[in-house]
Amino acid sequence: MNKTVAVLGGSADAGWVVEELLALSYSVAWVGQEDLPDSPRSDGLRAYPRSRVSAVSGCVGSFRLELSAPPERAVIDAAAIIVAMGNQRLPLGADARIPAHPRVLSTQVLAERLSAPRQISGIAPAQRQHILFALDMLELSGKQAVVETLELALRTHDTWHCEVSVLYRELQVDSDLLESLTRTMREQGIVFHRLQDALPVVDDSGVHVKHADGVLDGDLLVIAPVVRPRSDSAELAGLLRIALGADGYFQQLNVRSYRPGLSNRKGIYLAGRCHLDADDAGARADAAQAAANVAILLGQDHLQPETVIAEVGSTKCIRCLTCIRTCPHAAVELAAYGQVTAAKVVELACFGCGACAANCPVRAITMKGIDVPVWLQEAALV
Amino acid sequence: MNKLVIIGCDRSAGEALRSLQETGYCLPEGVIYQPLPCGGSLDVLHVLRALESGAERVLVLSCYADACRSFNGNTWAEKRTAAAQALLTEAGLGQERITYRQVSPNMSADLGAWIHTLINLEPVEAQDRA
Amino acid sequence: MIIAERKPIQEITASLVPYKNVLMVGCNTCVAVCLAGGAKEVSVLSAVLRLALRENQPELTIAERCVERQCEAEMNAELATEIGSYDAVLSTACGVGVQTLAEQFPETVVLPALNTKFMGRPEELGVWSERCAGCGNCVLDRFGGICPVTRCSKNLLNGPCGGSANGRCEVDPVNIPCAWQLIYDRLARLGQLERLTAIEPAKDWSTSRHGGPRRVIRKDVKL
Repeated sequence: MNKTVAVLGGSADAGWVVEELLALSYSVAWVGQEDLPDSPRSDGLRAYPRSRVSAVSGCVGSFRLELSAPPERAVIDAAAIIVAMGNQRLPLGADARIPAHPRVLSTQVLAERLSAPRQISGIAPAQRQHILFALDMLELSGKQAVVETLELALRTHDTWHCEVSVLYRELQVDSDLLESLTRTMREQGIVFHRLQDALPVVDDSGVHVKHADGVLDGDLLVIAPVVRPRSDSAELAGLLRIALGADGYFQQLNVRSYRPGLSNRKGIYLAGRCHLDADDAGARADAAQAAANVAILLGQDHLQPETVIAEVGSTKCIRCLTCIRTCPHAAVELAAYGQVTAAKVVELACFGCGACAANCPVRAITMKGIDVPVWLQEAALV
Repeated sequence: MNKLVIIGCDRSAGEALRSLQETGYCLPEGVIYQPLPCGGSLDVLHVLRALESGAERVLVLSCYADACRSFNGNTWAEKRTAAAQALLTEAGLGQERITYRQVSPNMSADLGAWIHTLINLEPVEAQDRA
Repeated sequence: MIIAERKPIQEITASLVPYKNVLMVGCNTCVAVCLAGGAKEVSVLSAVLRLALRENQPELTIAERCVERQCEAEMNAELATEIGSYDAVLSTACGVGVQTLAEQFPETVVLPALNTKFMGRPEELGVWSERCAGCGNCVLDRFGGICPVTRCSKNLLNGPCGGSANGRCEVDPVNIPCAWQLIYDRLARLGQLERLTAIEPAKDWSTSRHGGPRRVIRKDVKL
């Protein structure tokens, strides 16, 4: 069995997935639209930088991806696919609602100022100032941006010895890193306020931000980056025939599943921030989970269909396409039965849910591997 | 004649029923359970056939939203149950013969309670006459 | 293809009142594809009817059959031996299928179970919409492949009316796009907007229903 795994995405998340897969001795084909980050040299790795997936066919165990990387084209045969394209960060200024003013800065600009040695006779430039750091100002910042912004706030406090406040909307302190970070910040006198739904007011006297208990006045407002799903998510989801959620991120098969990272199609897995909000540590852990998902699939000698699967009676099929449109797992396609074309269930891809059978207008689809009693299934005899 | 036919996703309803049975519970007389591989395979016809075969009531069980192994099997089960209810209503029969519930594998106590309630309701036709 | 939908059950049961022994006949072509009258819908409808009439017409029996294409007499021939033993046939075909059965079996009462709606296409799973009104004189070449006769609520041939707002039709802004918006957008995309400067003359409706029932004859095929 081919044990190549295609990893799609040029993000850091994808890099960790590649590392995990190589550690498990899988062959990896790494495809990214951008230059790919440095990765460990390995005989098992083939990198396809600046390449775009243009077509996907086949099913679990034998996917075929066609890449367009002008001027040449490439084809990858892979047993499994991991989508790890990450999310995208929007620059400050992308949102017109944030006033353009010298008192409003991005975290990046502040970080540059912070590292520039501009102390004059031992006095930091902002020593008597009050600097506000806003998370999730208009849209969610994402966990990694939250971590980076809080670290920056602490560093600003330590370097400039100025007053620092943090404004947040939903701050989930759910990792050791965030817990120790926020504890240290509080101990240093940094105050946290919950944001109200109001835009900051900026004038010559300073910045003014509404929060749950009043109005906070400061000298500078530092706004954390905003993350969104990558704009090419929908295109890739369409090619792979996997689901995007209403929020635009790739959707897990089942949010309550004990095994995260499964897409709705067999053999296609999700990893990192293209499907969940995580800081770097969380994304690394998810990369390991994705590799484990692949190992569960490819650890067997050969792939086997599930015990219950759907089967189309090709002579009854009227090619109405209802089953193909119904299948939540993209497991039904039109195929040739000898000279006849009819719907066909790709056995390895079928989860055996039977949604196709129940929607079939001519009752051409039956479920193999389960007994449905006659009284429930057959036409009542007159 | 069956008092109650339970048609359910075997991954949730079946699990709940089996763990209930492990405590010594037996399905009451006149109650039968028909497993489905997923709520997605529930067919309007299953519900109608159960009623045609003489069942007094039908209980359709599927997983909770977001808990379906096949993405939207619970939605299909709910929609098709609603379609069967709508057909009965249109035919002037009343839809109370058909009940839909979402269930998770650890809800065996709830399942037992639902069965108890449904088999102790007055027969539908007696209700109609009243 | 032809799109149809089931009649209200009460209307169907009312039409069955005089009969005791009914044959339901489905059609596995257009009406099966639009999930209105194929083998499955025959089973569903007959089950509901049996349940509904169990009290009021307990003596009623309903048998189920389905043919491949009910508008073809040859494909209905398989019913010939038994159809005479039923009081009535309830057809889940389109109006063409119902009439074919009625013509073919003149001694048999044939009742429709569906309302035939239009010629259209599936937009997505469970949604069908109208695309052709069968006017008998296709104008799609002049309107960017979008039919103003079918898709404009007023069949306007020379631009939109005042009821077009934000690309939607005032008749039902949620569900009906303004056909003229679609035509404009499509011609713009094709670089053919100048086509819209030509005045479209009044349509000759004699090729449509207004000329009476129509026939098509292929002389080279008809002996």
